Amino acid sequence: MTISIGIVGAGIIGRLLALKACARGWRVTLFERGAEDGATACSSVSPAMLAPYCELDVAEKTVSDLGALSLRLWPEILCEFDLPVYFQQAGSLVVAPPQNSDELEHFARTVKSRASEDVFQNIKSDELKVFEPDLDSRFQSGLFFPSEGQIDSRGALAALLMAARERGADCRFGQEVRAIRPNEIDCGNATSKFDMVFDCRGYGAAKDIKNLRAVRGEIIRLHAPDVHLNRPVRLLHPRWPLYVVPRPDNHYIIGATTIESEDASPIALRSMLEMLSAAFTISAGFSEARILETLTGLRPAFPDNEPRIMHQPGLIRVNGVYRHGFLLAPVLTDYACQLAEKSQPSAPMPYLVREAA
Amino acid sequence: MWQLGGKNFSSRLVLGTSRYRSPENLREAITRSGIEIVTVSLRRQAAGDGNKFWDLLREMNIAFLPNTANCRSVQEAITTAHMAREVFKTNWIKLETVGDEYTLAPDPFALVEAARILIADGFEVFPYTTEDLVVAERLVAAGCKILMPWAAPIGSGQGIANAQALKTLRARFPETTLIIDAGIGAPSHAAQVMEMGYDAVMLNTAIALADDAPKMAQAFARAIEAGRMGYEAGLMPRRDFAEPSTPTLGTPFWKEEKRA
Repeated sequence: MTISIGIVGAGIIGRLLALKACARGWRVTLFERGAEDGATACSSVSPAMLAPYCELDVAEKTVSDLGALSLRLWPEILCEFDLPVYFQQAGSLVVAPPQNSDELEHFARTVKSRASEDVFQNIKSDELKVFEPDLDSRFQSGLFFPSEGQIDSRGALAALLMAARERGADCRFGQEVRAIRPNEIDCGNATSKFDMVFDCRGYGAAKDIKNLRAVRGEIIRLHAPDVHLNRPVRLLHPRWPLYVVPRPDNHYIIGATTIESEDASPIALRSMLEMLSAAFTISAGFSEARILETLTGLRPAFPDNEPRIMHQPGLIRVNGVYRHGFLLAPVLTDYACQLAEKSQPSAPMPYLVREAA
Repeated sequence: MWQLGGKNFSSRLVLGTSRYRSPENLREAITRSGIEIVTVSLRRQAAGDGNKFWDLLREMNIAFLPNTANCRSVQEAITTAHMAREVFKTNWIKLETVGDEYTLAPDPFALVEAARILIADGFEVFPYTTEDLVVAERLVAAGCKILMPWAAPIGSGQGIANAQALKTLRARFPETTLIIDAGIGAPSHAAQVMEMGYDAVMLNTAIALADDAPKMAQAFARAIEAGRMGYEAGLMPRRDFAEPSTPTLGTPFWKEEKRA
């Protein structure tokens, strides 16, 4: 059945939803107040690690389970792209300096207590050298999560937009949406009508969604010709656990802070010091790295830091993906489409909330 | 019931609010353990207008003890304290002056100076200090009615590093409210300091990073209550059985004499 849908918000959720809706043969109109490059979306700040198990350190099991499903869906989505987008599934590594080796044990225990299967291997120092030759020799052990991966967030946002447009989506940028109602979107002076409206605005929806808050995240992008890491590395530290994510051509993303604040202003000096120290600890080769840019984003989160799909006739809201937008987007957008089709998704969805009409 | 800064409380567990899996997880910990006072950090979270994380805690009807975590200088701490008074409408301030970035050991010199200035300005100062007796004396001389000595470095979970010094503080400052702040890793550590007669325990990491934070909060609440009851009931004196001082039943007295 061909239906017409309006999507508000062109972050990872809105763009992937647009593509999936086009694939279903729906007529899609996408509204976004920012520009095509997605710079105003917190998705573009994301290092986009696809790490459902490592995230168990901070996330609940349900997020991890959904993430594991999504991880399997990403390769299919990549097939839809005309642009090459960097995607890697070479696992991720978790390390701690010897004086903090207890942190590694604690991390392993936390993951084990929440993951349903054996999802990591213990790596000793000689193996560690094979895995990551450039890792500082102080690291004597680590945890390897073989199934985890990462994707280039900006590349994916661009490719999703291109693919959605090619399949007929009408994508309008620089459009300030004033109000969202069931079946209606007010944009500029006009009201557009749709069979279904999808609200994918992230924190931009705060005034319409109770209890949605922002969590500030800061990242640094580096170019480090002297460092060759093969996969994302997480450094555990008693106070600030951080990760270094390698991208093609010796580019790296260091992230991300997690600060309970709605302040989207540029990176704090303290955060920068902490993140750069983490990078330097992982490999001294980072000392001559060039700092390309620093970015700040506001992640949308509910009090339990778990996502929600809220639906009522004519309106579906997908929000609260917190640190896990790229990890959860494939599954959440599938469920959202299924809801629009037959008002009940085929898969169990623990976060489904029926909104009062 | 006990009194802190002019208010009545029944819980003697003060909770830090960072590093929980989610605000909901923190709220569960608070509810399940009957916590009535939480500390909140301003330095990194105050920018922008409003803070929904704080709003989630405000809904719980608990007392806020804002802190000056991450401040190094006297001036920074004072500025943060003023901001805290504005934001949380309280004259309470948990005064922290970082002296060492790695251990987060307090800088006692900046601490005493900032305490004096803030007390003159009408603040109820809760200074985070070490177990050092002389620093404690200076803080009390500066007007502090509450002291928050550490048991061990913050986040270390080591428990009581210097029990004798903590006992001395309790003995020397019977009129001062003493709250153990930092270093507690297990409920038994908390029970131990409460048995010494400390008034309360402040905790964060041991609960926030537990596999089940709400359950751990409850475990601590019970340990603290048990320790306090033990203190109030009066602990029996420690007895040294290494050297018998009286004849043991069934042992002929001439053998006792021989040994002596």
